[in-house]
Amino acid sequence: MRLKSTLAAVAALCTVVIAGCGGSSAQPAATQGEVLLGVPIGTTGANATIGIEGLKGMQMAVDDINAKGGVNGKALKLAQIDDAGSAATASTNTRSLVTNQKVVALFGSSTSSTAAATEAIAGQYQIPFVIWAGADIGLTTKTFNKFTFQTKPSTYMEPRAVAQYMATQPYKRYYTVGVDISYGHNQVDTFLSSLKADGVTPQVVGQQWPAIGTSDYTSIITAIAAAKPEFVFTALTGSDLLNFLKQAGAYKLFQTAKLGVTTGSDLSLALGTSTPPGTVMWDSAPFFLMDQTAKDFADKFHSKFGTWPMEWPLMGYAAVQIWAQAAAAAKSFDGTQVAKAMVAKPFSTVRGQLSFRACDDQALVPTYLWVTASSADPKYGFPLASTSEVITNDKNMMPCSDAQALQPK
Amino acid sequence: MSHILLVLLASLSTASTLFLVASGITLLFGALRVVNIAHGSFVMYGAYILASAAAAYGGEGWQLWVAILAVPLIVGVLGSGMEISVMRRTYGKEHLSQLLATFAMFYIFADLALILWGGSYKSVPVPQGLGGSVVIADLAFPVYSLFVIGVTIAVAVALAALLRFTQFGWQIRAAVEDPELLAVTGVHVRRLGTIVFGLAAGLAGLAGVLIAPVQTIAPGLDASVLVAGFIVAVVGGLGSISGAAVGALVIGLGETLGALWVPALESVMIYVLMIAMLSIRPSGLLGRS
Repeated sequence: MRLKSTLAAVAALCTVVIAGCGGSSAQPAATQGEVLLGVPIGTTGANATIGIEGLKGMQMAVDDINAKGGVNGKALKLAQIDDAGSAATASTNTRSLVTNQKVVALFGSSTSSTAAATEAIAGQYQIPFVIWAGADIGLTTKTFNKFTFQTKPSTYMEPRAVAQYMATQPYKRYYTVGVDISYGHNQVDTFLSSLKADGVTPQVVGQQWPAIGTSDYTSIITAIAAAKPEFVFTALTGSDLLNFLKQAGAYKLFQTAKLGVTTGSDLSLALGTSTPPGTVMWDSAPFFLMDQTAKDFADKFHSKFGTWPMEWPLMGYAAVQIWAQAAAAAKSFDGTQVAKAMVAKPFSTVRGQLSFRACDDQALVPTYLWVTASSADPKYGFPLASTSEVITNDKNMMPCSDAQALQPK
Repeated sequence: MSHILLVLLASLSTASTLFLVASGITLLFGALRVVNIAHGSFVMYGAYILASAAAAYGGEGWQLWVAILAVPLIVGVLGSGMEISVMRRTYGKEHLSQLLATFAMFYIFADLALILWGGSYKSVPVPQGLGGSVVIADLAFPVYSLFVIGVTIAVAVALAALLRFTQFGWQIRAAVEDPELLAVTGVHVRRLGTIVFGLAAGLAGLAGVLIAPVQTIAPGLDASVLVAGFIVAVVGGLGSISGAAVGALVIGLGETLGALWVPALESVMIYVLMIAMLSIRPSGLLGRS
């Protein structure tokens, strides 16, 4: 009996060790003539769609760049590891990508917390890290390092853009629903303070802070219905937002209050004809509101995958484009040289011209805002915009002096 | 007045799926003294299998209804299979072995789900005829939520009748009281355990089927329902089905009122209630001291 128990314990220990080693040994290694681009991003968990869809865009960019001869004579190859949205796992994975796979650049992340984890490793090993999801302002201030480049409007910029639009609307009674993490609190707090700065005195009739991963919003929806708001500002993402919308729709919440949601193109594609009409949506890259380059990308994506792209494939594609152009300009894959090239000039991307500020490596990028139409477009299968606006965000970026005051010395 | 009614109905709606998950957990503990960490996996599999059926046969029509009835049975068989292949080897051993075995099954089921269904969201439409909402005292309440409440009440009554009025129910209650004596009476205790495990898994599968049309189905669903289910079972009293019902009502009402009165604490209300209950009555509301 004792021998049996001992053998069982040894077998269990071996299984754990093998499982722990299995992840990194399954990753691709660079062969002669190619360089690896590390992508520590979640492809499972609440924000899995960000990683899954973004990777499609990144792979399309890699294929297109390789078809034209690669960068500095080398072909590009993606090396992705799933972190399931866990910051601790992201940290381990990023370190593995840098030390074992010897990646020359990092791209990500599906949440701001995993982005912060990757950012720390990128700074430590001086590897450029291009963020195309994960928008917390802390990434370009409190945890900033010169190797991090933010291509998405931050949580400082985006709610200011939304407030700029909402200040022109007639609503007074506001309700906010923000996920109970830094991202949610930043978005809500900034939105409300920006409204006040824009001359609107919002009457906040209620606030909810559901935990990330909340699946049942019944109690929250009941509280919102009881408060009778005119506008509900949400700072939820991924499956949390989808769950909220699905359940709120059943309570006919959208007939009594207007709703404001981020990642609008994701939602429209996920909900299709069920997308609530009259919803205020905002996004960093809704292809149907962008120029012909983005629309051509959308057609190519649709031919390849059979679905229209959310914002993430465009964000991922543009991120690879930016790094590739910077590496070509630097004529090197050295992190320091590429990082210098990243702030030296604007880049031509599928999202349009894009450049970074030297003080915090934040890209000057617009926020696209629209109100969903009453019926689905026959070509796309979801409602497009009845009205739309492009907020350029030049006035919505944190002043350099403020950003630098918050950055580590 | 209308808001009070909405709060009560919303609480019942929340409590319904909580009860279905918790009843399986408490049934397993009561009859077999097993704490099954993989119980949430059965809920997730119920949702995923229904999503596959909806994708294969079209999201609406009679096929979806057939799937809704069949999926809990399929998950029940899965549960029985787990009992035969894994759990039987842990009976009579220390509880840590059982806990580790169910913990391992949780991760195995999770990885298997990733292989079978991938990492992206799945969605199931609300069955035909159950969409829309009814107006109750000037406020809209989803028809589907009323359906879920109705199904749960029917299941609760059926479960109570099964345990009280059938030989099978008598055997389960006897297994709770004195499993050695039950074995001496000639009852095939092993087979009883398999059936109980299957019944518990089937209840979890039914919970998965009922929540699928109103929640996105994605990796992580197993963990999110497991925690809530265990808390309800503990608050009600582990081993007590009626306790699970009362516990679900308490938690459902607590969450709804928490969102209304103390929104800053809404996400932790379920834990506050659990700690409060354990402090006052450690065995739970209807559990035995």
